[in-house]
Amino acid sequence: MTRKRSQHRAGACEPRIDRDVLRNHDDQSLIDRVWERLDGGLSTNAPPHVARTSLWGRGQPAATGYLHRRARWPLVAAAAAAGFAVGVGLSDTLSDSGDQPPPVVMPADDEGAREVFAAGRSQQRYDLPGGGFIELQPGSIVDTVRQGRDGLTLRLVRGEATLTTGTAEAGLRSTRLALLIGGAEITTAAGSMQVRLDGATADLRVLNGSADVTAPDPDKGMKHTILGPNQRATVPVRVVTASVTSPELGPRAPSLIDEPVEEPTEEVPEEAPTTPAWIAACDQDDYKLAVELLNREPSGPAAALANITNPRLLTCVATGHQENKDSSAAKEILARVVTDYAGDNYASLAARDLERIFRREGNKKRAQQYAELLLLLDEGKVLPESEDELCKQIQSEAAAGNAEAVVTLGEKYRSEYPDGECRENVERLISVAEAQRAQAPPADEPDPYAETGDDETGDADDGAAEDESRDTPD
Amino acid sequence: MTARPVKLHLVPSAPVPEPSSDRAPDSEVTEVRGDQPVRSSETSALDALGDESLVPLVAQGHMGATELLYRRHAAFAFNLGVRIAGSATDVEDVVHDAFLRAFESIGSLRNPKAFRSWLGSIVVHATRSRLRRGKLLRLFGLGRGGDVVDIDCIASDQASPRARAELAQVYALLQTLPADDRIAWTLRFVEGHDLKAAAELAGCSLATIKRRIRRAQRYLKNHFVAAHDGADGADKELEP
Repeated sequence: MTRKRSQHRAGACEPRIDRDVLRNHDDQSLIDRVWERLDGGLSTNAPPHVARTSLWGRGQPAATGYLHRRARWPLVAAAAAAGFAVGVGLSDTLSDSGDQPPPVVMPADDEGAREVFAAGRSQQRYDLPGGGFIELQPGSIVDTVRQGRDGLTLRLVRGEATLTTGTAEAGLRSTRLALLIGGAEITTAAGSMQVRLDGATADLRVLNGSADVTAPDPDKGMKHTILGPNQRATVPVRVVTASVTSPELGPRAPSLIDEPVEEPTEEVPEEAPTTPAWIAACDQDDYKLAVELLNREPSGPAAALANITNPRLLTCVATGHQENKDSSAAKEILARVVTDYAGDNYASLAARDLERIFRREGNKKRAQQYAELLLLLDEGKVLPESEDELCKQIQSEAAAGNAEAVVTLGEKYRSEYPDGECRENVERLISVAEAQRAQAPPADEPDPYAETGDDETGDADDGAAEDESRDTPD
Repeated sequence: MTARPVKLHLVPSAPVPEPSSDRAPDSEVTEVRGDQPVRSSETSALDALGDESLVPLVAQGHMGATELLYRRHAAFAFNLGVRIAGSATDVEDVVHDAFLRAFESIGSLRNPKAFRSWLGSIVVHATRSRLRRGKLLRLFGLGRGGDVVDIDCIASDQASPRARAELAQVYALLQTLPADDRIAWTLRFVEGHDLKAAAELAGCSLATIKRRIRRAQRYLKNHFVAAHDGADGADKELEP
C-alpha cells in the first residue's frame, strides 16, 4: 500500500506536511513584545549569571529571581506603573488647566483585545473587539472574562457601563456579547443597555433593542427574562437565602423585577439573620450531627446546600457523610468543593479525600486523576477565582490611578494571600501607589482622586465585588 | 461523501532549515566582554557569533547576547508552540516562560551549540504541561473552554482552501490524541524533525518516539478524510 509505505517506512521518503502551507510566526511585533517582557524580567529580577551588563551599562546586583508565574503580569504591572507615572506626571503639569490623565487600559495578548476597561476621572468609550462599544462612567471598571470564537464576555467589576451593539453607530457583532455582574449574565444581540452595579444588586436599563437577563433567584435557582426597550430591572447579583444568611452577607437580595423606567426600585426590608442548626453543628465540628440536622431542613438537604458558598460548610457535610459511610453523597459534595473553590485549601482537602475514596473503591483511574489535580492545586496552578479577582481589581485600580484603593486592596491581598501568585506584582503596585501618595498635594488642596466623585463605587462595592467573584465561577 | 482514508498533504522529507548558528569563530569577537558596556557598533560583531559563542556570554550576563539569542530562536519557539498546541492561545506566555527558564539555567547547558534543541525541549515540555493541565482541568470542569484549533494560526495565507481544510482536520484529530502522541506526530510530520531530533525534543527514547508516532499515524490514517476537490468532485490522493 503506497500510503502505508510512504508514511511508515524509514528512509528517504519520510513524509511530512508541506511546510509551505504552514504559517511562519516570524512576526516582529510579537517577538518584540515578548522581548520587552523578557527584558523587563531580566533587568529587574535577573539571577546572578544574567545580571544586567553590556549594552546598557555595568551589571546590576542580582535580585530574587525570574518572574515565572502569570507571565502576563509583568506587562500588566508595567502598564499600571506607567499609568501611575503618566497620571501623576500629567496631574502635576496640568493641574492648573484641570486636564485629566487618560486612563490606562491594559493591552492584552490577543489582537485588539483588552483585559481591563477602566475609566479614571472622566467618562470613557472603548470599541469592543468584534463590534459594538462600551461606555464607562468615571471610576468604572470592566474586565474581559473570555474572548473567543463564541463571543466576548465582560464583567462589570464596579461602576456603571453602557453596552451598545447592533445599532447604526455601533455596527453588528458576528459573535455573542455578554456582560457578567456577579452571578447574573446579560446578553444583547442588538441594542443598548445601561448597567450600574450597586452593592448586591445591579440596575439594568434597556435603552433600545432588547436584553436577555439570567440572574440568580432565591426560589428558582436562576431566572431568565427578556427586557425590551425602555424596560428596567433590578438584578440580584448574588443569592442570599434566609437559611444561610449571616450578618456579614447583608440584606437578602430582591428578585428580578421588571418595571417601567420611571418607577423607582423598591428596597426589600432586611431580614434578621438566623443560623441554621446544621451550620451551628458544623461550627462545633460535629459533622455527623450536621448531616442529621441538614436532613431535617424543611426545604430538604439539597436545597439547603444549593446556595451555600462556604467551602468549610460543604466540607463539613461531606465529612459527615463519610463518617456515615455514605461515600456517594460525600463524593458529590467534595467534587463541588474542588470545582467551585479551586485554589482554596478546602479544594485540596477535598481532592485528597476524593483520591482516597476512589482508591478505596478500586477506581484507580479516577483516583489518579484526583492525585494529579491535587498536585496542581497544591502548586497553585489553579488560581483561586477570588484571588484572581483581587489581583485584577488591584491592577484595575492602579490603571485608573486610584492609589488609595491600590494600597487598601493590596494590604488586603497581603493578609489574605501571603503566598499568592500575584504577591510580587502587588507589592510593586503598592510601592508605586505609596510613592504617589507621598507626592500627593497637601490636605488643603483638592484631592485629584476625590473628583471621581461616584461614592457608590467605593469600598462597599469593592467588598461586594469580592463576594460576587466567589459566587461566579467562570 | 464517502469517508475513505486518503493521504495527507504530504511531501518527501527535506531538511528543516536551521538558523545560521555557526557564524564566526570566537577569536573574532575579543572586543566583546560581558562586564563592559557594549557600543551599538558591537552588535554586528555579536551578530556574527554562533550560538556556541553567545551562550557563554549570556551565562555571564551579557544582555546584548541574550537579546540576540532570543531573536535568533524566537520564531522557532513560536512556531513550535503554535503547531503543537494548534492555536496561539497562551503560546506567547509559553515562549516567554521557556526563554526565561532557558536563560535562568543556561549555565547548566553542557553543549552550547545545542541551545536551539534545548530551548525546543523546554517549549515542548511547557506546551505538553499546558495541554495535559488543560485536559485535566476540563475534566473537572475547571478549564476555560476546550482547546480550539485556530487554523489561521497554523496555515499560511498562501495555503489553498484544500490544504487548510486538511490541516484543520488533522489538527482536530490530533486534539483527540494523548498529548505525548500528538506532540510526537507534530514534531515529526509538522515540524519536520527527524526521529532522533524529535525524541530529543520530546525528552524520550528513540523507541518511544517511534511508538508514539506510529500510534498517532495509525489513528490519523483511520480517521482522516481528504478534503473535497471541487473541480472534479473526486477525492484526490497526494503521492509523496
